[in-house]
Amino acid sequence: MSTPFPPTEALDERERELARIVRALPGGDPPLALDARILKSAANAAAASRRPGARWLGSAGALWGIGGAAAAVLALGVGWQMKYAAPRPSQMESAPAAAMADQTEDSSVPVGFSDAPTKPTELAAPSPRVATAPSRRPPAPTGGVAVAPAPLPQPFADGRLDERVTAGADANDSVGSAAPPAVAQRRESSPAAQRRQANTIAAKAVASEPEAQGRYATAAAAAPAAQAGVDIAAGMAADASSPSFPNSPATWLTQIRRLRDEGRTLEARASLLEFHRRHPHNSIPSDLVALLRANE
Amino acid sequence: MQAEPTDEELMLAYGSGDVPAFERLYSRHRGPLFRFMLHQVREHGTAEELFQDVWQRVITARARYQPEARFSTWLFQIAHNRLTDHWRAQKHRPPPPIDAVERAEREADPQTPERQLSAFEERRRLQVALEELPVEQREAVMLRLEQELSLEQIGQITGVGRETVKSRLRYALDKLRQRLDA
Repeated sequence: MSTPFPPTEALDERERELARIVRALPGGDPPLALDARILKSAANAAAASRRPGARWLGSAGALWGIGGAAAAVLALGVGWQMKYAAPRPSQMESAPAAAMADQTEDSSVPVGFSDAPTKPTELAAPSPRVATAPSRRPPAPTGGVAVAPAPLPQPFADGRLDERVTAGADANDSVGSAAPPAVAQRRESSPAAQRRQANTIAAKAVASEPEAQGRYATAAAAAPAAQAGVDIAAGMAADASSPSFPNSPATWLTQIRRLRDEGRTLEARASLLEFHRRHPHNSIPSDLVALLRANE
Repeated sequence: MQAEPTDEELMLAYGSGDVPAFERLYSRHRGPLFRFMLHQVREHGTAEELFQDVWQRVITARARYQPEARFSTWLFQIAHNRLTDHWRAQKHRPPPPIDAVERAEREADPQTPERQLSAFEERRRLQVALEELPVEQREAVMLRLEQELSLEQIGQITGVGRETVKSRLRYALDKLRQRLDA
């Protein structure tokens, strides 16, 4: 290996003479024990450098360490983002709950019914109606029709059958036309006639129950009665003069009241029955309960 | 005939784990370095301690050694720094040992009595003269006379310019000469 260093400066004569004397001075070499310690330290240091465990601190090991640390930080960051970026299920579940919570302001609307309107404004104004007691409500049957524990209107307790009412009522007829032909022939516009027809239909539905169904308190009893109402309501829907069933319970109830006020009691009753069939968890307002009584 | 490896080659080899290379390098410079340290501190125990410290620093720096200068320059630069630390810790230059002249007089000389006296007297006078020199001048003259380093190398070791080294050497050599001729 060629020496790139500048050449040494040779000693002049005076320096050489003094150098001879300096090199002859006593105490020139270190003791042997000191030599041994230094050489052993050098050997140990070289051996330590050759061990595999000491190499990770080298450049390659440092790079691997830095890379591993960077990957770990990246994984943590991605996991953090995924955890908080996804929509929380609780947020989605709270929306219908919030909508249902608005309904508690209206005493006529029990908490938790399935047909809650999306707009609270569509609900009827709060009125002194008897609200249902959800806690006391029996579990909904398979049909999904639950009945309020309100006392059964009198007409449903009547197990009499109106001979004018037979199966196979024409679903396309109105209340009057839904009745058997004999009934339809005897259809009168008077409110009393309409009540009798509604009572008969309701009584038939009650009579089909294996047990005494003097109270309109079971889903099974309500179903046939509601079915009768469906027939009437279907007939009402087919009648050009009959209103269609609104989706909003509050609006529907308003429509029923209008029919009642117009003297169209049977239609109102049929509509109310259909309402109850479609909205079994809705309690019937107290002012409309009278529609279910036969002698009114 | 294979050329002897240079000091720089041996040090690079040791940095790669070649322990015998260090042993050869050590054998080349152990004597000059020890004498240098001894002449500076004028006490064997301290000289051995500082001497071991210097070589330990060489061992520690083996991986990052780069032959930017001669190995001897680098070695004595480490020695100079170690001495500077020693003087700083001492806060003052210790007085020459009381028995320094007596120890120099008791040294056996294999030469003839006449030469023995002359040679002995020379060494004694030179040793006294060296001890009376300022640290910086003594250091420069020892590096120059015993290691035959250039002014540039001495300047690199001591951290001063060439002219400063030249000035120090001039004063030091003049005093030594005066002592010997006295």
